[in-house]
Amino acid sequence: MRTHPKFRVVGAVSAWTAPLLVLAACSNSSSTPSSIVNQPFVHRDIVLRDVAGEALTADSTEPYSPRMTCGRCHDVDAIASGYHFQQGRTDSTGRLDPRLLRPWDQQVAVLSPGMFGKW
Amino acid sequence: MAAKSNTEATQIDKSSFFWVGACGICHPGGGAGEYDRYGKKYFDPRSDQFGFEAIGLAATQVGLDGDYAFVPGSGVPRPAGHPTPPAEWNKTWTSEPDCMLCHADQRVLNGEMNLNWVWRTAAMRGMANLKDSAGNTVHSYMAASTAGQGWFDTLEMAPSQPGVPPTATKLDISYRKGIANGQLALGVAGEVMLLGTAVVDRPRDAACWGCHATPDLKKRARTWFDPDRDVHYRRFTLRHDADPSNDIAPERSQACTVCHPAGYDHHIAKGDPFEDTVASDRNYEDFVTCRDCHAPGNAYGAPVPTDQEFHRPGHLERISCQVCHIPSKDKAAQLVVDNAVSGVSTEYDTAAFLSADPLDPAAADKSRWYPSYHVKQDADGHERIFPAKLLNVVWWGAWYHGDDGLPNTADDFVRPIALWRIRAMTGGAPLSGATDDNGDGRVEINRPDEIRLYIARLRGDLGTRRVHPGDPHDYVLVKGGKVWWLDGDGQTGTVNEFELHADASAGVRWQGAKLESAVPFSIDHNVLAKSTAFADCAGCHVSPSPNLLDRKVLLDPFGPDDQAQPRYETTREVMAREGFRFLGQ
Repeated sequence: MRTHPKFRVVGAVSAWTAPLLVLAACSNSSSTPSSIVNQPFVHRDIVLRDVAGEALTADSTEPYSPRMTCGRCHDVDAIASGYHFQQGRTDSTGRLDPRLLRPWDQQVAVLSPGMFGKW
Repeated sequence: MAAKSNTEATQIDKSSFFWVGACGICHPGGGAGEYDRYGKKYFDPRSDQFGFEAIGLAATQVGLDGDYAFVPGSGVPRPAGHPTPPAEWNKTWTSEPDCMLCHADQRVLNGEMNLNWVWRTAAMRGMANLKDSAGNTVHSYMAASTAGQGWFDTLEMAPSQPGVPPTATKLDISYRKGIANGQLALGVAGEVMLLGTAVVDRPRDAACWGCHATPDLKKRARTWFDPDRDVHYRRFTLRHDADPSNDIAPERSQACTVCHPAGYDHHIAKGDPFEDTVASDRNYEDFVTCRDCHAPGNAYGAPVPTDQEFHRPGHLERISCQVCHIPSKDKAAQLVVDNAVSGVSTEYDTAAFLSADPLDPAAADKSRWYPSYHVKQDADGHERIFPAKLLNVVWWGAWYHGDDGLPNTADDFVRPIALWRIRAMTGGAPLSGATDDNGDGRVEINRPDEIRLYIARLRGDLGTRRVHPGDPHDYVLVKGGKVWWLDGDGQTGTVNEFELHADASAGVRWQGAKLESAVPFSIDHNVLAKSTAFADCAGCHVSPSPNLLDRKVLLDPFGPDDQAQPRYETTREVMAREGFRFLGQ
């Protein structure tokens, strides 16, 4: 029987967050659904930044950039390799589905198994 | 989906730009939302450069590039000559991985509707036309993340038809809204801070449901946030006990991630749905299955089945838990999509073709419906029967003959004709001569003379535009498990047909890629407890068997007769065709 995979720690590995990982790991000592839905989580406050990496102010009208905001600690490219992000563009190894590069006259109908290429 | 390289504008259907704005509303950014098929960012606002410019191309060289052309969406006619306007990535920018789409702690719900999703969706769909109150362009794909958190003063949406997602026309971003609702605060230098308390690690159900509500309700009749319709939602929100004070509110529920956890790689654990999906190499990886929790000695405290009569090995080795514990569905689901009549999809739900009597789909009681059954390999390697909804699709295609030199169809394929081309031919309405034969108020294409009429028009209309220059092809109707084709000219030709069912012996089963007229959508949620599951021997061990082998499954929504009567097959026939071997065979 497998153990519940939630006990893999979710979070960024950095000097800021390492202590939090210890906290999260310690909290996962029980495996009942009740404990799973009540796991504690702590995240630090972070500066909201625009696409140029500049800090936004209360009067800014530019959209915030998740890459510039969250990506200062988290490996956004690694995260965005997840299949929910790629939707068939790449496979699990990160390679582009070659069907997406086929010229039109070599296509059949489906260019990938995901929403990007399927319809 | 448009190919990367095309030689004619008529070859281009949905381009990447359209996909991000229209389909990206349910995708969390990143991937195809940011990068073209050569791996270049579609547009980089810091360098003011398009991706094609980064590899030395000019705008005039990418007019037929599926990443940089744009075909307006459904219902928008294309002008003469079918030019493709450029995709205005320089106005929308790109759709970055939207962390807070899933990891925001606060969720604004209106009933089951996730307003965070609605706001993000509206901004995305604004595409290159989204402005602020001063008339400045708002970079819609980039700004959708901000809008989705509710950080705006103004979000004006154009009126839309029921069932059509909203489209924003005006967006005024305001971080003061986030400060007011406690997600944001000002730092010492006046910078806006995203508070750590606004972030959650495991996404709340509302985050998942924002995207999954529409397709899953539509395709699978799935509901959520209803403790009476799902035993796991009830348990994981602590509604199973007698103490209401510990109940977890719907907007706080994190039940989805109990069975669908994810690690830092963000490959969210999944099962193995029938329909062709991504990351099939990760099926069941870290996924929590029924057996993981409910096996004797499990570590979760989950109840272990005690009724040995039903949970005998002979049953459990052949029948999935879902067969008995998701016995029927009481919400309607989409059962037929007819794209043939006008190029504008006509949808029929389960009530049109199924009923509360699994042996008599025409019965008057439409309060529930019963799924089809299909077979697949389960997580433990056993091949079992699973419930699914079989979605029938009616569509026109171009039939290409294979080159193996044999008089067969084994190496043929049928390429779907883009719906905008069907609309261009029909004007978005049924052709004169097509009629409503079954009296349901909607026209369907089923009789040979109707098929002949449409194929003749397709030959005349599309044939002159060279669907595929130089290739032998003809136009065909795909409907009801068959390909319907015209042997002869459009006046006197005979409409013939051949079966297209998948060949299980060749290992081709429900891939939906080469040629299908029906796709099964797995039904795995809304699990019911023992008290409301199948618990009657006679439901299966009887002839005809309503609960297992003899229930009726829609095969063809519109038969070729003058009344367009639907045709059905039994679940026994469906599974036998897929290669399932029943006991004793």
